[in-house]
Amino acid sequence: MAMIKLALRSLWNRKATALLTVLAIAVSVTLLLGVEKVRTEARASFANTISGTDLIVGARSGSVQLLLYSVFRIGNATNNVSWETYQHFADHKRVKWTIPIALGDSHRGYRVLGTTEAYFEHYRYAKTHTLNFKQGRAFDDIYDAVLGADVAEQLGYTLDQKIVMTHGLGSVGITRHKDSPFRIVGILEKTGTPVDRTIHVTLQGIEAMHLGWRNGAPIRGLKIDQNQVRQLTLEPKAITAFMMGLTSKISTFKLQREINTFDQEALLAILPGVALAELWALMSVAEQALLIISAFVVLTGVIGMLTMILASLNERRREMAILRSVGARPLHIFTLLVSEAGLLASLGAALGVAMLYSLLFIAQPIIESQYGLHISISLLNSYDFSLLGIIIGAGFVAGLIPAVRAYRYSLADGMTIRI
Amino acid sequence: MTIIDINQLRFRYPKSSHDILAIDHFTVGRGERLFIKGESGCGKSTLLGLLGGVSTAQSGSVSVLDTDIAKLKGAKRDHFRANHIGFIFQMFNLIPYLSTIENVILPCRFSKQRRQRASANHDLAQEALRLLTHLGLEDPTLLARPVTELSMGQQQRVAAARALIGSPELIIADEPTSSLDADARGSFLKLLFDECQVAGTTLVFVSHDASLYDLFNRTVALSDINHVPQVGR
Repeated sequence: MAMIKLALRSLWNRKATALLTVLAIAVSVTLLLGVEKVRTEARASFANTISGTDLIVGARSGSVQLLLYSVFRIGNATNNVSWETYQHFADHKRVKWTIPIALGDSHRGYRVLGTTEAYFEHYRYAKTHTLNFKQGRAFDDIYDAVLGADVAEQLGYTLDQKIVMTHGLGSVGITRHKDSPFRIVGILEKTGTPVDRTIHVTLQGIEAMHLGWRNGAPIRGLKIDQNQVRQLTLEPKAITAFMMGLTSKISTFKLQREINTFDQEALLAILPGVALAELWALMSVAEQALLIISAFVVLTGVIGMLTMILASLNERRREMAILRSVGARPLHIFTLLVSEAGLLASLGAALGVAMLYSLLFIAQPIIESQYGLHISISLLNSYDFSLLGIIIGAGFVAGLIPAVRAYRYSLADGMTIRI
Repeated sequence: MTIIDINQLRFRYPKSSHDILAIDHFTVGRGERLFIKGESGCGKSTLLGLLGGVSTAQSGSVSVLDTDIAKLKGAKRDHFRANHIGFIFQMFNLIPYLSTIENVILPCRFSKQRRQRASANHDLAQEALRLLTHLGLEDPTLLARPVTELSMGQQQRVAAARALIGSPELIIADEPTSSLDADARGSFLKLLFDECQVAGTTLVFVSHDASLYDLFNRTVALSDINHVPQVGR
C-alpha cells in the first residue's frame, strides 16, 4: 500500500508524461470497447431485421441471396414464384399467414415492394415490434403507396404527394411508369431495418404499372387511364418471394422440406434466423478485422506506457538508490514500478470507460438518425469487463519489464548513487 | 561495546585481479564519532558498501551490532540495514516528489523497529519536526517548500534528520559535507554531532576533507588500516 502511494506521488511528479500515457491508454480502451459495442449492437440490430417469420420462400437459388433480396432489398431474384404456387402454399393447412413480395421497380433509388395488407399486419422486427404508421394509413387503392421513414425523410415527401415509379433499379431510368403515378397515403415509423428504405404498394399496383408494357418497355402511343384500370381484376401472374408464419413452429422443418421438394416449381424455403446467421458469418471477417485493429491500438497504448516508464527509469536510478538507502528492499522497488504501470493502465481504463459513455451519449442520437442503428446505453457486460481486465493485466505485465530492470539496478547499484 | 567489528577482511571486485580492501582488524565502539579519511578511489565507498551489506567480502567478516551481515540472506540483510543503519550521502539525497516531512519519515515506512521508536512519544510527523528543529529547520514556510527548492545545506540537514529518525544504532555518512561551504559545513556537523550524542548513535563519517578531523573523537586514515598498496585507480 505504501508503495502504491509512493508510485502515485512519483507519477504526479511526472504528471505531463503520465497524463499523456493515461490518455493514450484511455483512447485505445474507448476504441476497443466502442468497436465491441457497435459490433454487438449491429449484430443485434441485424438479427432484429426480421422476426416472427418462420419461412421465406423464393425461386431456387442460394439461401443468402434469397434473404438479401427479400429482406434487405439487395440484389435481384433469378426467377419468380408463380401465383398458383403461392396460392397453393398460402392455403396450406399448416400455414397461418403469408406475405407476398413483388420486387423489380424503384423510385429514385428506393425499392418498390408490392405486397398486401398482410405485410402491415404480420411483419415483425426486433422480436415483437410491428410496423406502425407515423402518418396516414395502409394502402387501399391500387395507386396508393406507403413510404418507409427514410424514404419520406430523405426525399422530403409528405402525404398525398404523387410519385412515379421507375422500371428497374436505376435512379433516373428512362423507362418510367409515367402513366401510373402513385399517391402517398402513409408513412411508417422508423424501424432501423430495410423497411425504412422501401416504398410499399399493392400487388395490383405493380400489375397496373406494367399494363400495356411489353418486353420491359411501354408500348408507344398507348395511354393508360387509371380509372379504367381500377375496374380490372389485376391478378398477378407471379411474385418474387413470400414470407410465411406457421400455425405451429414444430412443423417448420416439415414444411420447409415440402417446399424444397415441391415438384411443380423449383423453390427454396429458408429459416430467416439461420440465413441471417449465415449472412452475418460472411461479414464476420470485417468484424474480426475491426476487433484486431482495436486490439493493436490497445497494444500501442501499452507499448507507449512501457516506453514512458523505461525512459524514465534511467533518471530515476537515483530515486531508487535513495529508497534503497532508507531501507527499501529490491522487492519494494519492483512493486513500485509494477504498481506504477498498473496505476497507469487502471487510470487509462477508467478514463477510457468514461470517454466511451460520454461519446455514446453524444453519438447515440446521431447514429440512430443517420444509420437507423439504435445503440442502447447499458452497463458494461462481463465481456467488456474481461476486456478491461485484460488491458489492466497487460499493463501490469508490461510493468514487469521495467520492474525487473529496476530490481537489477537496485541490486547492482546498491545505495551508492552514481551520477 | 563494539558496534563494528572487522576481522581479516579481503575484498576484490568480481573482474578485478587484486584486492581493493585488506583489513586485518578494526573496531568501532558505541557512541564513537569516527572520521575515516581517504582520497577518492582508495576504497572508502567499498568499505561503506561492506558495512551496509550491499557487497560481501571474499573472506573475513564484517560484524555490525554483533551480526555478521555477510551471513544474512538478501531480505534479512535489507531488514537489518533498514532497522539499524542510517545513511547520509554526498548530495541529491532526497526524493524530489515528497515533502520535507515525508522525506524524513521515509525510513519508518520500511522499518517497523524505527517506526516504533520514532513514534514512541508522539506521532511520526511530530518526531520529524522535532529532529528538523534541532537541525535548525523550524521555519514552517521553509518546510512547506518542495525539497528541490531547499539549499544544499538545508537538503543535507533534511537527509541527516532522515538518517536519525527512529534512532538507528549506526549512522554512515559518505562525504555529506563536500557540497557545502565552510560555514554550512561547520554548523551541519555540530548539529549532527549533537543529535548523535543525544541518541547515543555511533557515527562513521567518511571524507577526503582532512580539515574536518579535529571535530571527531577518533580519526583513521583508511590507508593506515588497509594493507592493499594503493595503485591509484
